[in-house]
Amino acid sequence: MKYLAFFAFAFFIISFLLISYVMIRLTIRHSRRVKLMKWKKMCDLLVRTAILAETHQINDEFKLTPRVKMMLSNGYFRRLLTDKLLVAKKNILGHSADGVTRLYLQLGLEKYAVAKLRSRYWNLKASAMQEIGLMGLTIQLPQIYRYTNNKKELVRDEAQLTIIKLFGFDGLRFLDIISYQLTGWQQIRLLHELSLVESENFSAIDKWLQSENKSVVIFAIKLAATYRRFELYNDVALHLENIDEEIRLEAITCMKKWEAADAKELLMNLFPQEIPKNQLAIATAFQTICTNVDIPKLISFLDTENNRLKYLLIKAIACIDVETIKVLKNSFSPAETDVLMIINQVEGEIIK
Amino acid sequence: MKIVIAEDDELIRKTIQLRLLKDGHEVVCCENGLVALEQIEKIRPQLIISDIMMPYVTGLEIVGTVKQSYTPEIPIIILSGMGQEEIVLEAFQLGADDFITKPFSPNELSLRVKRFSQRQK
Repeated sequence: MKYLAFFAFAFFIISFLLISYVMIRLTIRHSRRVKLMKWKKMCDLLVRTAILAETHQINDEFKLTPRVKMMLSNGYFRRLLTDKLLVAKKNILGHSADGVTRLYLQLGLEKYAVAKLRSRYWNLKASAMQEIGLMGLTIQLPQIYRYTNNKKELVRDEAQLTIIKLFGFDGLRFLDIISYQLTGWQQIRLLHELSLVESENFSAIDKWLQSENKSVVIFAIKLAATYRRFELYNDVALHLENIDEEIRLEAITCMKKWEAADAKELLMNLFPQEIPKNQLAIATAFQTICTNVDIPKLISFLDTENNRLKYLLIKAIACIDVETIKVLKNSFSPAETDVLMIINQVEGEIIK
Repeated sequence: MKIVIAEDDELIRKTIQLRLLKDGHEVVCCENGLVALEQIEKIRPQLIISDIMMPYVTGLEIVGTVKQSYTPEIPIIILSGMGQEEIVLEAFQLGADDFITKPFSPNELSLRVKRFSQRQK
């Protein structure tokens, strides 16, 4: 009986403690959630005020409550507000976007971005650079330039994008110094970022075409192709005979984009000894750069096992003269079903 | 003018709402496509402003549903991101009336809405 009473008492105490603990935890969580909601509302209100401000004067300041100023010392609130300002800046243009930047500067948030830039954590560095680039702040430039060749891929990728965001084509000078390779994805992102700024007759591509960094050469060829820098024809054509197959491929692609008829002879000569992947690219280029006189040579290239290559070559012939493929069709025996099917397919596509 | 805004980002939604309220429009905000479709059916707005990428029902689905099932004469302005040209074209094929690319200027949006409002008068 004594034991039973003891166990009942112990059970009661434990249950009481457990319930109290859960209640306290729930209360804390609830109050945190309420606080968070309040902060979110506060941030939204601040950002909306900046977006919809009537005044567009650069020196005009927003009226801030003492509570907001006080709250800025709270790291979580600051992060919340910065995120909201960045979302607004990403989505809004014109005077409203200027208002967002003004509020960001008035709150002194750039100080924290600079502090993050110096952090030893690479993710914080990368996020600081995103922030600086988005807000268009030309601060801490030497440091960001240094990061364009950082050993951490994410840091150098963000640094390169930030430099382009801030300085457009002038920012490309980081290509002079980088020793790490630019990934294919990073090259796409850089080209996209460049497409958002006004295109200028930027210099130094010729220098990058001679770079020892393979990816810089490839990127320089892409730039030459995209911005139609025909004056660099000789420099790019040299890379058609580069020992690196990827550089050769990029040079072939550039010639195709330029529709460079001058490169036709060189490509014809290189075609037989090229690797299959590059042969496909050359065959695609033939569609735009070859003429009637080249048809016999294109027909001679059809002696290959690669059906994809046969298709591209026949398509090139059809692009030059559609009647030729009808003649070509009769020149093959009915047993050669593969090539006849390809010719039929090309004919069908041309008719469409 | 009665306007339904379908946008999942709260800040952008509120910004558009306040800008259009300032212009004297009556605005209903929806945080996703599903709510937007319900509201469109309920209040029959005179204009719809819809983001493309939204949870549950996308902007494209809204355009398709409105132009086929409800009143096709309701004009729709699509909010699209950079590099979404293909989707914008699809929206136009479905019957969208105009589009604005993000980042956008609230003033520009206000002017476009004004144009639709004048057309309806």
